[in-house]
Amino acid sequence: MSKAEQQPRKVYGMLAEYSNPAKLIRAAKLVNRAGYQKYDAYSPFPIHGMDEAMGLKESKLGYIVLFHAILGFLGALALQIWTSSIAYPINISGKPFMNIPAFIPVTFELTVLLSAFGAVFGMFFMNNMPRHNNPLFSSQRFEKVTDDGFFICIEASDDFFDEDKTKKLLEDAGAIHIEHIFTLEDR
Amino acid sequence: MSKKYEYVPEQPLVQGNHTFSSITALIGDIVEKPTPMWWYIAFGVSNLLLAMLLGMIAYLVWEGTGIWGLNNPVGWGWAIINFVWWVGIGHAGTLISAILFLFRQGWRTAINRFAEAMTIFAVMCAGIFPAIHVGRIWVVYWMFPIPNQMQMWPNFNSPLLWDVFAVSTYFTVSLLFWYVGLVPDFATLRDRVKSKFGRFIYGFFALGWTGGNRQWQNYEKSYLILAGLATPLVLSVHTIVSFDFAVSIIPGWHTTIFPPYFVAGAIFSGFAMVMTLMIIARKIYGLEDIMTVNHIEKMNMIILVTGTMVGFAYVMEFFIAWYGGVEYEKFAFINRALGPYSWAYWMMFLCNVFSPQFFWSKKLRRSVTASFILSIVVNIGMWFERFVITVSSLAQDYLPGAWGYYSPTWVDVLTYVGTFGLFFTNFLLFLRFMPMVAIAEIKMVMPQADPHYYDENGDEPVTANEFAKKPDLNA
Amino acid sequence: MESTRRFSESRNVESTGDSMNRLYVVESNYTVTGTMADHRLRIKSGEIALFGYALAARLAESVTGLSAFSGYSNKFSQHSWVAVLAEELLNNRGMSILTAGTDHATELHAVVAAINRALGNVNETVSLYDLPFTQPGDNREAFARMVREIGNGAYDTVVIIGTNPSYTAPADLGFDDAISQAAAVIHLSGYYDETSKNAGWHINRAHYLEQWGDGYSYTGVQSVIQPMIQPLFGGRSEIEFLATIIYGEDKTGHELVRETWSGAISGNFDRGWNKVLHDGLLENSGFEAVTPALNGNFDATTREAAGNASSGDGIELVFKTDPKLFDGRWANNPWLQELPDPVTKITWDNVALMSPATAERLGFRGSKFDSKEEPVARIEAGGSTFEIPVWILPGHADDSITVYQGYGRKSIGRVADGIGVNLYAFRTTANMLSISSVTVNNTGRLYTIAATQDHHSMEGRPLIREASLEEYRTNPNFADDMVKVPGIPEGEEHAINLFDGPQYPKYEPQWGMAIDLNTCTGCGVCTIACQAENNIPVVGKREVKRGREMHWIRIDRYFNGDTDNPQVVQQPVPCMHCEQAPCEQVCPVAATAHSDDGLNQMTYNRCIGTRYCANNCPYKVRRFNFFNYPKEFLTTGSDPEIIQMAMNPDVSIRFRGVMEKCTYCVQRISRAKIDTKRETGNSIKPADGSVKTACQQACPAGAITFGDLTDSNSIVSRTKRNNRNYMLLEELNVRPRTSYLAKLRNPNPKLV
Repeated sequence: MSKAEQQPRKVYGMLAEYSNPAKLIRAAKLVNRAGYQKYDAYSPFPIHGMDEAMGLKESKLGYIVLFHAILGFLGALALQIWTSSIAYPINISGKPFMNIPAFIPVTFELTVLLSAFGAVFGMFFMNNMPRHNNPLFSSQRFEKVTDDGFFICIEASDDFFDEDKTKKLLEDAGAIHIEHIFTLEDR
Repeated sequence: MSKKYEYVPEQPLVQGNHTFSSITALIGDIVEKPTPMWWYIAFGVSNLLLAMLLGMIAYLVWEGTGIWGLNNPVGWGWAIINFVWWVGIGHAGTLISAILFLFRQGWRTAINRFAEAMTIFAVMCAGIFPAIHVGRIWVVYWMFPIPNQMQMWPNFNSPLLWDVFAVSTYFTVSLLFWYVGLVPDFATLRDRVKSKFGRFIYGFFALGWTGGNRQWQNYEKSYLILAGLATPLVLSVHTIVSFDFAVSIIPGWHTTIFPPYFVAGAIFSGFAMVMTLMIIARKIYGLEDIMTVNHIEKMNMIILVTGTMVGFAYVMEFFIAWYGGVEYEKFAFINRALGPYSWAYWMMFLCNVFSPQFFWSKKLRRSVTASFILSIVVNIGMWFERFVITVSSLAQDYLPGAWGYYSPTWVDVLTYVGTFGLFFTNFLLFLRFMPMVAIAEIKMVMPQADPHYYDENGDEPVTANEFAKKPDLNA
Repeated sequence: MESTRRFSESRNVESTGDSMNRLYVVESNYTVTGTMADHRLRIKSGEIALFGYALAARLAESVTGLSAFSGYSNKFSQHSWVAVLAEELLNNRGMSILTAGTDHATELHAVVAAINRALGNVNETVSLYDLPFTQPGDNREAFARMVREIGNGAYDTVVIIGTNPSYTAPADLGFDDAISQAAAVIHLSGYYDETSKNAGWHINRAHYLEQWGDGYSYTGVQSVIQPMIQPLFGGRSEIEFLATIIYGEDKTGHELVRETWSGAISGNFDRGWNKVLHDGLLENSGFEAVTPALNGNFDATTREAAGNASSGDGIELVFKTDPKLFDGRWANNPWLQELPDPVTKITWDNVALMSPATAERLGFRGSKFDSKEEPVARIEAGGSTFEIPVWILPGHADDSITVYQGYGRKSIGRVADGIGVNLYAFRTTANMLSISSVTVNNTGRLYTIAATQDHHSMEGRPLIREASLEEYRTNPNFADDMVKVPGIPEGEEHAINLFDGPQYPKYEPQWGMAIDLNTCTGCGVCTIACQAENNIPVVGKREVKRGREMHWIRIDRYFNGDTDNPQVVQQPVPCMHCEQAPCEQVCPVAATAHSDDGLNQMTYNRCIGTRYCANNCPYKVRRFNFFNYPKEFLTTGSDPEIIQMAMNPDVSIRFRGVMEKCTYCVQRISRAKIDTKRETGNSIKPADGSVKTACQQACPAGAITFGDLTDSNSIVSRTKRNNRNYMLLEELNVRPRTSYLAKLRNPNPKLV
């Protein structure tokens, strides 16, 4: 008897494939109305209207970016003001030590730079990226998700997850294929 | 129901009846198939030019900046001209990605990846010059505000220092923006390539992208914010580059028109460079369905507009010089047109103002040959514009006793040619190993990506025109 | 030097009440003196004597002593200058000076002396001295005779002291062949030159700063030459050398001089001797001025000479000593080779100078702004030809070509080699000063000249502000009025700033400089002094062609007016040390900043060499080290120690990639501030006049004043209060600390 047959493998979730964006949206709406929380709809590109279908709230990324922007702004000003008028003031062309008009370009650039870091790394953070060991990657079919495949995966850890009920819901929504996704250790 | 209007469908952005998977195959195959012979040859030539660049730089570090043609009074020559030229070209990529995104121009998706790559590599080529043109390259890092035992800090009044921050920020943000766009496409390649090493590399850089909508939601937000940041960044960076000249007091440099003039010029030359590269790539790689003639036409319109803006700026400079009555300024401009550098001035005028006017003709706008030729002419003209600005103002400024003529040496010329080696080496690697079109974004602008395209059963409509008559599905 | 000093004393106009001298110059070439002239007449060198005679003839009508010229006339007799000059001279008897250049015939000099005498200038403005140590006779003829005799084997030993006849002797004498007939040729010389190569013995001569000696001033004041240093290479002074030959004794120069002076000093010798060494001269010594009478032959010889004088047709070729290299003895001195000629701004070459009209007639087109290529002429005279580049000099006389001697030396040093054309080879005993007619052809070749200035017109810009004395008296503030500076409120000195200016500490001096363009002759000594003081490297001809000369102070020379007969104005341009310096603002690493005492500082060890500062300087006074120039010129450790010793240890050497510029001689300022602090205990403001910049110290005209602006009685403060004072490019609001005093000319209304 192989290890795989010794005990039932731990299920990570149920993956259903759909044929086009319209079907995926419909399915997502149904899954959302059914009360599931831990699920996601997968597609090769973002689908217009999916956020509402899944009942998602607005992304919080903006606050992260704003925080970084303020950090960049104040940091740039602090750097320039401190170096030019406190740490080592030098008479440059008779200009005032705290030459705010001259400080604007660097301030602007650092604000943008830090905001960009916030936007990018904040987004990675919020998306749990990098995560190379996602159980979804074990599925052969799931490889289509970056080509022309549309999927919904409902995680087993969701409160409402039930082998049969969940399967029926996904099938009724029009799934063309359903499979189990197993956790990493049991693959 | 309301009145019936005659619906005129927009020209499809992707021609040729593609499906999602055929798009993926079209672009992905370029990466997955074995390297074609012409690529090796082109890569070899680029490497030679790159080696020449490195050789010129080594010679420069060894001997000193005297091997260039600089002198008193002309302290800036080809190096700075090349810097501004390359940076200007780079701005088009960000503009295509960011500004056209904000304006919801779907046609950008065919060229944005391509253009962003060009931006990165152009900024790399540009960034070489401020580093090597200084007299003491080994202490160039003093421009950065790093604590040191001299307790010295850089001088924040100086436009060159603003440049350091601006160009660094621009390179970083462009790189990040480009990378963010690449993540879903790296995932696509990860899922397609056969070789284990390929899967590993693409998988690594895909960061575990699954394509889930929760990821897409944050991703789209991030993309939008980056676009919103990159737009003022494009404007500000070339503005700051223009400050290198505008903040000085030299006649011909000290003028408030430079920021918008430079930005317009940058967009002008950048689009021209994208055009040149795109026309070659679409032919070689068979991407005419994605990079269509409509795209070419739209780009030519932008080239026409920005070229006319640049022409307007030329005329305004003359007008303000006359109107302002400052004799040094008046002289600077008359001298540009009639003095020892008039050959450069008229070349610039011809290439920048006169040649884009051909694009008023729809036939020429949609002609691939005309676009290719004129795009190269435009870039030549833009190089001469930077030459005229930099050299003519320095050669003859306030005190005639100090006037002096500048001409480049062979080292100047070969260094410039060598940067094309750096650019094309990088660009060929990009073409070979990365998806040169934004696969996910292209799919997004296909009609099949829109849920409203499908009927109430969620099936494909019978014919494309039926789409116009379907009721709203989102009830 | 003395001439410049005396001349400038009378050009130093401090107020409208001051008077000015008036200078008339008649010349073929454009000399520095010509640039200072209030009126200048350009005529061929061969015709200058004619002009002089015509003037004498006109004067003869009203004074005694010039009867040789009664009834004389030539083509200049009706010239407007003759009438006006004669009237002016007659109205200013005893208050004028006439002088003729060294390259004219004896007869003209005699006539000039006679005119001075007739006008009553002798013992007023002109003093004549009977020199005790000269013999009458024609030196040239004596030399020629000697060479012939040596060639005939009349002498077995030839001793040559200091001179270089193998290079400079007239070509037709065959000097080298002649001395090869002597058994022994001994050459005492400071350099191993052409004559040394032909000599059997070369004795190295001590430099004048290494030797004891003595001499007379022009007026006969006796002085002792005191050495600054022991001979570095064991050289012998000429008196030691001669003493060895004459007395057969090996005495030191010190002993010899003391011996000679034992007769001159009365009373206690040692005390008198020490006094002379301390004072630098012997008190109450000097020649007696004499009032010579005209020699009985004067009338006859003069009448004959005047009668025979003719200018000749054709193009004359005039040999002149080079303004920098003199007769060529300094050809191996790179400072002098690189110093731009005061009028042509040419370095590292000699050329054939001619007027624009002559050049056009001969088919020579001058270079354009974008290339410094000049046409090369072939000049033929008396069977010999030479090729030399042509330089068009506006204001040069027509049908006349001037060439400078001293070039074309070979194998005497790495600096002189291959520089220029040796014209001594064409100078014969018959044509020592000029050749009256030469043939000039265009070889069709081009040659690049390394000149430091490429554009010669002010383009109507108010850079050198100039007025006549009358205009100045009517409108004393004419200099300020020439430029309308916007943004200056009523009663304020400077334009409005957008920000508060810097506050300078009260305990610091504030340095400033003023340059009087009325006394500056454009000679270039300030450039050399600065180079010596600040270890400025020589870059060589190739780099000067590229426009990379390193002189911290340059002199801009502009032509004004008519291309054929322009006026020349000169303007020394050092760093202006602007209070709101545009260079400081744009340096990304703050390598150039402003000191508390008003100096624009250049911090070499911080400079990364972006050259933005040089680009932004409107005066273009900054110099960049494009290569490691000091490596060629200054020590790398393996050079002889003497090169290191020539450097100023107070000034750091700049590496390549670093910017440099005039520092107001900050090393001298620092030294003075330290000394003042030590002496006074608390003040660091040096006394007025205790800090002199090198350029100021060297200027023979005293055109440069420098000092502390916080001291309202300092000479620089007083000079800046002069109503001729103006700032260059004032409208840029950079607030330069160096200002100029506008130039005045004193034209004769009758000649305008």
